[in-house]
Amino acid sequence: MSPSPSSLSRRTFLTATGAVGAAALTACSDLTPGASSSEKSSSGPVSTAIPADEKITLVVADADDTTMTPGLIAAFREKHPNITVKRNYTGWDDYLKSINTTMSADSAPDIAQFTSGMQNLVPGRLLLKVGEYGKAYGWAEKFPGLDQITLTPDGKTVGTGDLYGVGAGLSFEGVYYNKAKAQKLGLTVPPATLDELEALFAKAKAAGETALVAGNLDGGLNHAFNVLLSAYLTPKDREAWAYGHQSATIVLPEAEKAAETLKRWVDKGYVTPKVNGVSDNDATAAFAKGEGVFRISGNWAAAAVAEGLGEGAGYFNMPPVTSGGKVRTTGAGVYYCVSSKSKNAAAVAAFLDFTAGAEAAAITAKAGFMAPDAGAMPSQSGLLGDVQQGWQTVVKDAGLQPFIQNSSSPTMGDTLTTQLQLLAGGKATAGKFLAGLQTDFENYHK
Amino acid sequence: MTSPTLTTRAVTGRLAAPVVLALFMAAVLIPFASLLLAALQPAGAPLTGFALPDGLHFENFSRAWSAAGFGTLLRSSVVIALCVVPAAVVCATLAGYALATLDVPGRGRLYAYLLLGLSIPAEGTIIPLYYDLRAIGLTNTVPGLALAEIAAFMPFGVFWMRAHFSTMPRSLMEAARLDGASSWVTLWRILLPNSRPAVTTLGVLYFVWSWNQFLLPLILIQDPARRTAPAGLGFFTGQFGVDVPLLAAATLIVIAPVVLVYLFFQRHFISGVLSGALKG
Amino acid sequence: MTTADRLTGPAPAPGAQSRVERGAGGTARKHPRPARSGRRRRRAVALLYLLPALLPYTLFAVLPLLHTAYLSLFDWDGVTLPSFVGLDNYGRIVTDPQLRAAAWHAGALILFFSVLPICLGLVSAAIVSRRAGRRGTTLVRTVLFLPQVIPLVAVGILWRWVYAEDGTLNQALRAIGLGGLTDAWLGSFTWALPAVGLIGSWVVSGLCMVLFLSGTQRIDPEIYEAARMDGAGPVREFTAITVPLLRPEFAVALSITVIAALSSFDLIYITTGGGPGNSTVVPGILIYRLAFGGGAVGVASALAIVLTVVISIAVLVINRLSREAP
Repeated sequence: MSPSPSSLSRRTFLTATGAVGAAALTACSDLTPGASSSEKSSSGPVSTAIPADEKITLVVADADDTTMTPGLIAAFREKHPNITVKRNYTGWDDYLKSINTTMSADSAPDIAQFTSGMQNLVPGRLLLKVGEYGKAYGWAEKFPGLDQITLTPDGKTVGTGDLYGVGAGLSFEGVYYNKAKAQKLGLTVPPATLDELEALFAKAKAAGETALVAGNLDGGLNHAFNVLLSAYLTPKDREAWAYGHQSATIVLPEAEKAAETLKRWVDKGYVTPKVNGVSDNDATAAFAKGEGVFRISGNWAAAAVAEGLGEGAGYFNMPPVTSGGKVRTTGAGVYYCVSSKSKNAAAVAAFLDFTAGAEAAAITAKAGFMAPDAGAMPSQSGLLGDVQQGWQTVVKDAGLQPFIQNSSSPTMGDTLTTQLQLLAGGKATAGKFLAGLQTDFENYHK
Repeated sequence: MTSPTLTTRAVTGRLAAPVVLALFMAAVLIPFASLLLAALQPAGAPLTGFALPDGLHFENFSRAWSAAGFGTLLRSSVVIALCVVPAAVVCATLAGYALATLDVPGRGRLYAYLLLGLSIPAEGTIIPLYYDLRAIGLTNTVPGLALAEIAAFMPFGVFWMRAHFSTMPRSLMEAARLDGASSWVTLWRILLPNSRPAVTTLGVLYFVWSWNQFLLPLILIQDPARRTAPAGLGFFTGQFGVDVPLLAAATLIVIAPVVLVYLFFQRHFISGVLSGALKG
Repeated sequence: MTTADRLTGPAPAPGAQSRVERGAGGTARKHPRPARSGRRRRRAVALLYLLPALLPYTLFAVLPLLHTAYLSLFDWDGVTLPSFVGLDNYGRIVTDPQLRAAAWHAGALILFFSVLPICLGLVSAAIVSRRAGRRGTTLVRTVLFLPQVIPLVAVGILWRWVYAEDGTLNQALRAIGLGGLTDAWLGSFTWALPAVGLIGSWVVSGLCMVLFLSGTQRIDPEIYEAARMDGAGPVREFTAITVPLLRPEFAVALSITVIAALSSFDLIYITTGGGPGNSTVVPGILIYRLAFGGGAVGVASALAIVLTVVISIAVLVINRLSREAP
């Protein structure tokens, strides 16, 4: 076809685009958005006094679908009648998508639940350094796990730098089991070592049961892999990598052992068949309905498991590699951080401090989380009581370690899911799997 | 090709059509049926696939309604749709008319320029769009979201209306012109009355798209209470769990208005015969 | 030549003017009276018709796109101040092995988002239009369009149940004695891509049908009557009359569905998230991960620009071919 002035030729197309482009580039002034360094992010001199006669409104943005955050807010309001707290709840997925833009808006909420991906808010100076408040209130003694919300100024490394919030409710991983089936199959629980756990899996499998109920459609095998890493890897190596320390590596013999163990579990048929096609949520649901014998998951699953299996639900901590070793597991929690745009930092700090108290502990425990003040949690019976007891051991052994995908790199969650699916689908060896994770790590920390 | 006898052909023809249609309809309806059944299960029940509920738990609907605050969400969805649909349909109609029938300078270029918008992946440009709207103070507002949607929908509308106006017989327009009618009169008095199916179809499509728009409201509106209906679905997908029956009930709440609008307009949507003027 | 030939051609080439163009250009020749100023005025008025569309589109679609293009030259996380890196981001995406897989998947999705829906849409439109007036036609039309009105989030949730291990599809296979074929479809390295592709077909087919139906209304019923008098059966009627006369709608449907295939994101995000492994990763998923994973809005912008250019070229080619086809 011969070119013609009015036809939609590629040339026309490009000219049109180019012309508008040039015009627009010269016209638009705000082309490189981003927080400027002039915004304040430290609080200056602080005290623990809360203005009592002033009407204050705080906005809390969170993705906590339990009763914890609303419960804490209600209790705090009762204590401080002059403070109104508005809660902006968003579902987890939507929260992850929108929180960074929400925090960079002028109308940013005062308090936000800290999630993976929000590290960039630190160099953007959109989060308030709360270290001074921490000193004034003595948070170091009140809250375990504060290193998970301590970040370097570039936001790339966790565990060192400034404090940006507190963890009000903590969670950790362990092993649930079906008591009735364990009894029927003659399985002795709890196992003292990882090898013993695997022997139990083998026995369950031989009896025709699914030994380990799991779902990896959305990467749920990360629960098992994280706790295996906790058991095998030294805490130092684990933290260095999970917290994004420069030149850290996960290509280590111990990590390979963890990955090989997981792969062996899949290959030997211990894990739910076609695990890549089952969602993590469906796996919990299936286990609660009585399918399989064991399930590695967090305390957030306790309520659903208890409701489904009732008295037949049991729990034990992930066993160490060698008998008598310290218990190490993986966990995180609901962390609250503060917007640097908040006009009521003193009231916000009071709320953060409130979450460490005994009154808060009851609310937190009721929602299924571990309270910062473990001693103040009302004792519970049944499965929830077993989980709570497990938590005491974890705290005693200082065995709570960060998830490897939360702070190592912003894209690690997706990468870990992809790599676990390749590993479980027989498309990657343990070595290739770890190399895949390391590549993502190095792309970010170069 | 061997030609079958008239009767066998007629019989197969008569039978093939209903069978094929029935299959298509089943393929569409079965997932919906499982959605409906899921919505009637006891709240929090784990389920997959096609399962009959034990008892009919209609209370899921009221629980989903109040949990996600659908009252406000639906209202803002309606407001957005009322801003977007009429404005976008009018703009697209005018532009499609001009591009199809008028002597527009640089017609090819302008059309290409408008079509470019069909190719924009929203998930890639939404963060710059957010900062652009923030710079002019339009984030967290109805006009900001409405303008973003109108802009995003415009290329398809122009594409659609231009294609439609191009199919209208020239004789109609020429007759009008000879009668001394201006381009404006030709459009409103002669072309539009014969364009109801095309315009209605576009309007319904715009309404559906605006209603189902998810990423734009999520990023451009920061206050969750002011987002639109699909945002309510996120309430039932937590970090560690999904409440399937409530999610199914919420889904039905969100889609009900769209389905109603579609059912109401579908008569005009692809309505029967063209008027005599068009046949000529 | 029929009017249909020209419908989707954005503008005619000289010497091959459609009736539409002859009308528009011919007026001046028929009436030499209006001088240059009259023509200029008419052209200015014509531009006024375009203005309401061009204004919001330019401000809120094109400018953000250009802004994206500009930001693709920066290393930017979406929050802090960007730093200029030139074309590095583009270099990074062309060397990314994931992108090759993503491009391949997007191409494969055209089969499910375009080819299959257009075939199904044509067939159902042909049947429905022949049955016009009979009972049940409205019902069929209404039902087949339903998937189009559901938010994609809900579609994804629906189909996760259909494809689950104990889902509707496996239940159906077991019921008809094909239990051996069951699989966890979305978790299978072999089946995940066709599985999400079929969801796309499910969604898009109704739109195609409506497009074709609104096209069949344009076709003069007398043509069918004449054909029937000549003894044409439904199949011949379909291939000899309906299909050729629906060429414009065909090009519209092809453009829209190819765009849907190449820029697919929501459905895949909700059903598989790109997995298992990388087996359903498409460019939209990569853009999303880069932009919203919190890391690399600059790289995401570069990929978005590349995708925009590729889709534009595809639309261009479709329009070109639909004009050149016999």
